Amino acid sequence: MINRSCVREKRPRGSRDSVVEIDFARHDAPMTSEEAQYEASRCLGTVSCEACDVCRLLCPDLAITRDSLTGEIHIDLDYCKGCGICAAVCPKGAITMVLEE
Amino acid sequence: MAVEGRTHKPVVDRDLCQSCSVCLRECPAELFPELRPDEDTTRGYVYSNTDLAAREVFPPCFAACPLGQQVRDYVRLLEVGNVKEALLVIRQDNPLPGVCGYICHHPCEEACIRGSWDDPVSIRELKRYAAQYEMDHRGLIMETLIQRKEPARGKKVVIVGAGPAGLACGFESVMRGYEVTIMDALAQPGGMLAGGIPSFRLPRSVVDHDVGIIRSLGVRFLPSVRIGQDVSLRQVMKDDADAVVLATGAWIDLTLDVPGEGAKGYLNCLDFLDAVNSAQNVKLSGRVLVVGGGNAAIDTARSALRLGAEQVIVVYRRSREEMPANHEEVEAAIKEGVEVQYLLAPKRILTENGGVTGLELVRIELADFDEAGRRRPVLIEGSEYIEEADVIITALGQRPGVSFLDVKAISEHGTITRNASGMVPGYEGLFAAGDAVSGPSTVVEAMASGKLVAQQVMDYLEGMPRR
Repeated sequence: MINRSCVREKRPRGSRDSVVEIDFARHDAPMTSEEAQYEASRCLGTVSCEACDVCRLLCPDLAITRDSLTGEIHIDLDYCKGCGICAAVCPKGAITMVLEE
Repeated sequence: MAVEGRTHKPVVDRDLCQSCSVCLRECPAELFPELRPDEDTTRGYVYSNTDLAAREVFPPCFAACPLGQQVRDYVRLLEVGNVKEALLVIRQDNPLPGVCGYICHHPCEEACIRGSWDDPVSIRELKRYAAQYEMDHRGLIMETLIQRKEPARGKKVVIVGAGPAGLACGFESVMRGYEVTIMDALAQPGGMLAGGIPSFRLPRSVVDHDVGIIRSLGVRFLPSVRIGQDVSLRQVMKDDADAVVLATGAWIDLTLDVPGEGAKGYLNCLDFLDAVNSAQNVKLSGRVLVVGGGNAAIDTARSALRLGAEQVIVVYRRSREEMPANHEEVEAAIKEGVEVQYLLAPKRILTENGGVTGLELVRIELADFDEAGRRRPVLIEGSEYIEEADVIITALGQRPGVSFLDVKAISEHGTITRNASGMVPGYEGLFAAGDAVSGPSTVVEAMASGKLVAQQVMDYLEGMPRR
């Protein structure tokens, strides 16, 4: 599956305003798992496909297409011979080669 | 035209580059290194004129980290919710993930290319989240760490100092199969982490957890042994240790060198922070002046506020941009009510009946840049004024205390010298790491130094060639 979580929204850094009370304990709790997943998804080097087109241009079988309306990338597995070029070149590491069942 | 036959050359627009590293990965000379010296081709020409060692490393977060953390790898794993694997990726390069998750000065976030778009990814917060998982699932992680441990080599490494450098060196050495003993002058392991950083920044439980993991891996801790006092260096080296690592840190506070020192109410920050951290009954009242601009100064100011001081003023001799303290620590301190005054230098401590009553300050202007790249402060004549104070705490930086070593092994800055293989000159099998070598630095830099020395110790003990 190609994950296209959008990265263009703005959010305050770290999402937390620390230091509410003043004593010797630390009060800002660590992130929740949802917060952590969101924050990790903001990294430009992570798994989200940005539809950069590199895989589509390099596919020798023209099995990768781009949806003209949404701009999303699709892999047509009926035409794919499994060479793995797309997975090797994907700058985001969003494509992985999975063993055929 | 630099290359014959070439009509166009690729130019990278730094503002647009997302450092996806596709160009680097797909360059033919990257894929087939044996093609690089091929003199007749374009790539041969380009590569013969490129210093590969000095080439820019991608991604920038990885390049900026002194420990070489695989930031993108673990952030990617956190994105898909695989916290355990993420933590094990962090663990590969970082022996103290909990501590780093709280107090690392995160050069990775400063380097993050997302920062040029909106805000950098909060990498430290993510590491803290992963470290929290480790604290909740200690057994799971220990299992993998014990699997990763190499078989015993039957050699002993003794490390002096249980601070970040010593702990990192101890962790790396024990994972390589050595028998490790860490001795420390303090009763609690952790060094500056336990004695210098207040608990509102780094909770004690986090240090205890990270140290506990290292202890569970088989490292022996010897508390309350001060080298040079309780035991001599020669004795440590003689007592069946195959290698000794000095990671004693920088624990001697620099002083102001102005008249009036030694009055009641005049303290230095390490004594003060140590008293605060060891839960001795410290009480403060009135106006507190903190002299300095590093993290220790900010920690001192924030601690003083918590101990009941009515007003806390930090006095720093340069401006906000030059301040070495972490930006967010200064913000937090100001938010809590600490006042920071810039471009001031202390001239004289005013005393009355042996107690501090104030500090005479001189205004400063910044002149041209010195060779270190910082602007040189110049006193403004006749601008002296008096700031009243009940307590003055100095936080001007530290230097290592290594008087137990030979004069030959100590540099002009008071730090330990070492040769290219990490050894202290004049001593066989003695290594040095951390702040004792570099002067005061940051937690990750000290840890990186400890890791490097662990490798050098192994090279020495196993007779491997120098890298």
